[in-house]
Amino acid sequence: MKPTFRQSMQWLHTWAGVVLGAVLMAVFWSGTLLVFDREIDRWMAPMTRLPVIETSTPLDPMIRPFIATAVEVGASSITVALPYEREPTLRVSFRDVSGLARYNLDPGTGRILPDPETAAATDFLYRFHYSMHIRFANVGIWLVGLAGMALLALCVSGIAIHRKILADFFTFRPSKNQRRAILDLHNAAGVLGLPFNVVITLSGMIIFYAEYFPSAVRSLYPNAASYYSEIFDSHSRPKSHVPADAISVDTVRHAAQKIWNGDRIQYLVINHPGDAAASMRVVRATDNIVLLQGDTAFFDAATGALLYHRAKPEPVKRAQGFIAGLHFAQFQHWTLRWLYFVLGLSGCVMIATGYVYWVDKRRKRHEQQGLSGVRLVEGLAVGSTTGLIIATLAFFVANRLLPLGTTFLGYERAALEGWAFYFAWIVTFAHAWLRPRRAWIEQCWWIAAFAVAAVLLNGITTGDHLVRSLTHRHLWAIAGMDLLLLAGAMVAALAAGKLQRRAVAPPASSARGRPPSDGIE
Amino acid sequence: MDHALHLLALTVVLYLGFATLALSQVRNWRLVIAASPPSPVMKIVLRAIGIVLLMLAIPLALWLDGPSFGSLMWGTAISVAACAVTATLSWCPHWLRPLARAIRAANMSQIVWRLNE
Amino acid sequence: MRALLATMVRIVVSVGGGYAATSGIVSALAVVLFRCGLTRSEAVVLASMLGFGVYLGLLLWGIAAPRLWRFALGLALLAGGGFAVAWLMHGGVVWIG
Repeated sequence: MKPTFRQSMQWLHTWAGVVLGAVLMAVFWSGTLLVFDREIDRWMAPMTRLPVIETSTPLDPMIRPFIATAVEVGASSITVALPYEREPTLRVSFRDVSGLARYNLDPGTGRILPDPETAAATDFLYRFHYSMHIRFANVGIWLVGLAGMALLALCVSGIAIHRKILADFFTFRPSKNQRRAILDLHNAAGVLGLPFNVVITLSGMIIFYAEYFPSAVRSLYPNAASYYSEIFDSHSRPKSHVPADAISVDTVRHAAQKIWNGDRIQYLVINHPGDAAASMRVVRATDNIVLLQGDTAFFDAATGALLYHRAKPEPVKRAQGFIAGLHFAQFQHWTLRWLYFVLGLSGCVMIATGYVYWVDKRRKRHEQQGLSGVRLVEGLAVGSTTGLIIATLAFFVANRLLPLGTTFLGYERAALEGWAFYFAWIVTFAHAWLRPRRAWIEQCWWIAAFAVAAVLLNGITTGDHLVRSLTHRHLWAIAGMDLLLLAGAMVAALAAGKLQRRAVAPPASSARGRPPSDGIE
Repeated sequence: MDHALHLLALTVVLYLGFATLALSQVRNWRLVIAASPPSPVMKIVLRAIGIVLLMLAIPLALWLDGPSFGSLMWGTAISVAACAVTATLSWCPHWLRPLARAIRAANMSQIVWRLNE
Repeated sequence: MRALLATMVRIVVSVGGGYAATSGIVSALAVVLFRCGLTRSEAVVLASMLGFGVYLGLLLWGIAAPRLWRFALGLALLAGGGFAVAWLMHGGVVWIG
């Protein structure tokens, strides 16, 4: 197609970036936020902002009523997720006639907390991240997978076309003309962040290895179901049909912690509640390991006798578990979590500066030739960067503004928050296409406004303003979110100010009388 | 807090490694100090030292945080350290002057030693 | 216009055809690994994980290949060959997805 390898790599880098940049931005931005998924959940579900209880607190009295209810509705299992620092509530769920019944309990008092009515980060942003909320025929997962492959191809092609990659390794010249500075920033974010970008992308796709390569499964197994039942080997004990009421979560917890050296339990599943043959599948927390799925064991639900201890995974599956685990980052290592956040942001900067550079470079040529390509891509660029941030902030603001119990046109509150996200996002695209000259500046101001509004609304509607949240340990997640929102607002306002000044007074041209490359206006 | 201190230790070692590599390049050297840049032999020595420091950070990371977390810490900290060196060269290159002077001293003492032979 | 069409074809062949070829290779790899002694699930996981690298390589080859028909032929051989190997060595049903 192109005469040389380098030229074809240049073509690939440009077009993969332009076409899939918006999707990449969406995935990388949501991924960066999801590093603090449970903290965002706390912020969006204020009733769950509880102090963490002592691990020795008995949970049976709180869980017993649910076992009775589950038996009544004929549920075959109950899932109990135990509280810890990042999730201070006791969560109970089981299937009843109308679907999945979920309850959040205050583990200190056993009180059932009001339904948060929000999809928050661990549901809405999470599904957005790996599937863009497109569920039809798994198209969303495939789109994100394609974007992932595109990012890897972009990294390789980016290295291939970077002429003086070692000579320019530490180069960043912000005082040079704007276009050069943008390119320097793009290169710096891309090259210096390369290990993270490649590993996080590849690991994300490896999580879904079975969905992306069903041919591997099908070549050795008759169907996916038989494959999954083999790798998630379960111990199942059939129902005895003798009713019994002796289930004790505390007994089983105690037994589990004995074999696991006192390590925390993440969650347990009670099988056949109310039956004499009830058993519990208990999963160890992964606080101190990277592996995604913790050690699993099966116990008798009444006596706590160990029935089956799932074998340690074999080497390749352990490697896959490690790779998946390093992506999910659910471990208890705050330094690493912050590093992920910072590198995630740098990945967003890489994608955004790539767009900006492309648009800036071709803007003049396209205007002269009357082509609309740049306008289209610039709209895409603005919408998928500042627009996406505005949409996220609209999601947070809607969460604080909508009272509990709100419904509209048959949509429940959680769905309405999602609509706020998408509606705001569409508006930012429209804004970008209609007002190209001012779009960046105006959207930066909107980011600042929405972010400050979110912080203020949190203070007003929950009373957990910064003074309170900084002084109460269990509210540090809220303080962190508020502080990051304010920091983001500051950066956005500074950026808007700077862009505005450039638009009004273009900088003097650099050497040799080249026309000034203006600020993005 | 522990882990933050581990990160600091890692970053210091990695920063020194990248700074040494950066100073082995003439363009970066000139940003930092006016004196003459290292000789070609010294450049190779500096690059070797830089790479060795980056590699030494691996066992340090593994020792501080264990094999799984340690490898992730190293893999993320190298980006941070490289960025820090880039930022230093962009905004406050004079911070690297002490390192440049130490390199000059080593360079000169090498020449003096060779001349005396 | 013709150039645009040629580009579209190249993209479809690289992305779609590349995936098909990768599927074939991954199937063959899984069966070969199984025959070499790995347990079935281990073979599946390893072959799948390597598949991402294979696909990346094929994508880059497809974009850079000077003559598209040669690349397409290569893909067809890899896809066909891969699935054939998997089928012959294991005798089970093999299906892309």
